[in-house]
Amino acid sequence: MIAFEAKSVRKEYDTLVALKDVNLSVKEGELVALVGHNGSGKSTLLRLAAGLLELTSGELLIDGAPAGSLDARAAFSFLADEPVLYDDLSVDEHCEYVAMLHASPPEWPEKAVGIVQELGLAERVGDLPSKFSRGLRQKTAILLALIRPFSVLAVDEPFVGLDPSGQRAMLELLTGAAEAGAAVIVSTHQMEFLDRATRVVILRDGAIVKDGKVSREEVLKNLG
Amino acid sequence: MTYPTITLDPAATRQALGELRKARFRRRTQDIDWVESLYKAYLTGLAALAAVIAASSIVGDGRLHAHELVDVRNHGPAIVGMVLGALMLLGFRSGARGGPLSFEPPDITHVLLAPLDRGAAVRPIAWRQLRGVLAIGLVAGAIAGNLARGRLPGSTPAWIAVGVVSGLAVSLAVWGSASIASGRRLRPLVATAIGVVLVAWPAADLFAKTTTCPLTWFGKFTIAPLPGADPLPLASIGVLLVLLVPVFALIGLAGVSVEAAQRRAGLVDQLRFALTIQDVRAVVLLYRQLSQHGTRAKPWWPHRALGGRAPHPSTWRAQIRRGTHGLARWPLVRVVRMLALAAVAGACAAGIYAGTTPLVVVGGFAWFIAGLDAVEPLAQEADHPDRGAEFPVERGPMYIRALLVPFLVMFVLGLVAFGVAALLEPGLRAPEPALFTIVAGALATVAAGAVSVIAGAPKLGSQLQQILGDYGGIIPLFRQAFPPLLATAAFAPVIAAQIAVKDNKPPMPWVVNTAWVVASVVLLCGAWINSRRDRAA
Repeated sequence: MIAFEAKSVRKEYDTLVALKDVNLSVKEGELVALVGHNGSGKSTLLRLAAGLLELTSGELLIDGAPAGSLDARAAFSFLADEPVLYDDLSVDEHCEYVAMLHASPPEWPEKAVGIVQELGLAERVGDLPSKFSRGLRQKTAILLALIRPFSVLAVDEPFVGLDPSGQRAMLELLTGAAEAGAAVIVSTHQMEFLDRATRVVILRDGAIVKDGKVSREEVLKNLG
Repeated sequence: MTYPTITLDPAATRQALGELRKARFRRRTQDIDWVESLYKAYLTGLAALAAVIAASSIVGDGRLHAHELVDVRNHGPAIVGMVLGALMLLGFRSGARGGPLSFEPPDITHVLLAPLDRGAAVRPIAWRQLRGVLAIGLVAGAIAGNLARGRLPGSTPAWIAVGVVSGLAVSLAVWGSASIASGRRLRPLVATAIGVVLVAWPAADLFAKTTTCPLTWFGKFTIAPLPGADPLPLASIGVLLVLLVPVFALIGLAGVSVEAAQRRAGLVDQLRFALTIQDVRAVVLLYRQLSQHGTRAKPWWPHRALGGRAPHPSTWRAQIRRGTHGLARWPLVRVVRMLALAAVAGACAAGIYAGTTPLVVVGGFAWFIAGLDAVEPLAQEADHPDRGAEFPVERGPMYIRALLVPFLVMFVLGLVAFGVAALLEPGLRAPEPALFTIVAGALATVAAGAVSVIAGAPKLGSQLQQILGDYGGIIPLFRQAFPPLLATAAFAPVIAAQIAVKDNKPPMPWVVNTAWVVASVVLLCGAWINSRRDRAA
């Protein structure tokens, strides 16, 4: 079943065209890597899907619901490139709050404990993220993106700022989400992830120039 | 890994958000020093009270004559309606760009993107903002009521009560206009068109001597304590209709655009910080970003293309051309704002000459804002000190050269202000004193803008502050207060003319002498600017 569907998606900022009639479908269980130069439109596409930006034209559906609608928000988990966290809530308080807002099933605390262990955050769950390094804040944001229910997971540059063990954990968590049936779309240039992805979508100047199983060499060639 | 996704109903949303608020309140109150907080609240209350008393007891509380009272009764309601309409126009325009609500960035990520009822999530934030809006309306209304009491007949409690109710209604209406525009996602053009109708309708009432617009009815309420004013029914309906605006806004608030909210969230945070450190230039730049008032991609008039004959090298010419090139890229909205500020300054000059001296505060503020916009070429140099450091010219003289174009801009705006003042007040139609006033005003506002930009945010712990010890706090206060005071000095010749006329003396010598005093202060500022040498300026 198609979980993410972009039909002739176009986004303009004043005179700048960020996305030019992009068409893209992602099925449940697919692990998709979104690659491209800075300004190629990767983040714009993910932000449109999250409902953070409004389409100029076209249609973007999450589980069949228009992006940004109530049903789409319930199904779409988005991890932005910059972690956005409250200064006055600890990691566990963040978890509880996000789980409540997303009506997570009762077993969410066990799931959270598992993710916390995998990310190496166990010692810091009672601390305020405002005192964390960039990497720890990124790990907290990953935790929050994963403890809530979703059928599409979109992640923007998740490996930036993570130490090698954090990067490995991230890779496993993303692969695990896809294996559990979610459509996972990740904007990244990390080669290990590209090897693991079921599809690589290359964007250039707001348009898709390649979509499929692409080799490392082909990615590097397209990125110049 | 995934679960079946479900959404929260409004009751569950309120519960979840309530839990968050409690948790955050607990965390915040853990470290609060209650004695200090109460002391701050006490100081704020005291300052508000002082502002009310000071603003209402400044000179110029002369009683109006009988024929002027007839004018107030006949034209006052429509003029009040026009002012309210203009404020609502600003509200509608702000709302079309995403205002007035500002969210914390994490609220956008974790609350607005969650599958819950947005109305239930947004309304508590709106209520919190409304508390501040009402406080401003209350204080401004009390000041206005007290000012009216000083110049108009009628009982003091009635004027204060009407002032307070009017202040609250106006603040709610302006907030409501912005909220309607953002909640209903009105396009800027539509929002502006609605606002223009709200100004034009009472204006039509003014010229046709009718009372067809609800804003004019509201205006009738604001002069209700005046003996012989119309009976209240129509005025009360006007107030009720104005109060319906925020109600209508609250109903549609859930439709707020997440894209606009996200853009505002980061900028409002920075704006608050810039205000905290009193960095006026940063506030101006952030306000421009918030209002999406970028520079024009296509200049108003074409500039000379590369490849032609090279102009004669001259630092004066370079700065003049750089200034006019910048001017050619002003967005239309900035041009309109400058003209509006000039009209406000002109109206204030007329009011001051007629006896309402406190209007010098409003006029001075309008001129200061205009001055900040006018000195944009200089501000650009100050924003990029490293680039300027490469020029083989000392920084101070370069700054002085960058002020010629702003002076010409302010001179033209001064002519506009003179036109408005002459239209409203026949006593201000003489060209000779006007010329001296305009030149002195242009010099004062440009100097005010330049000093504000070059001085930048107050630097704490400077050498002078350390020498002054406990009295060191007065330095940053002076630095912040001096530029607006200098801009206010633009009205000094008008006040001088008013005093001269009151004493049956010819106003021209008074105007000329006052203009020379203002010019002397500007000269000192010029010397200070010319002496700038440090790289960071």
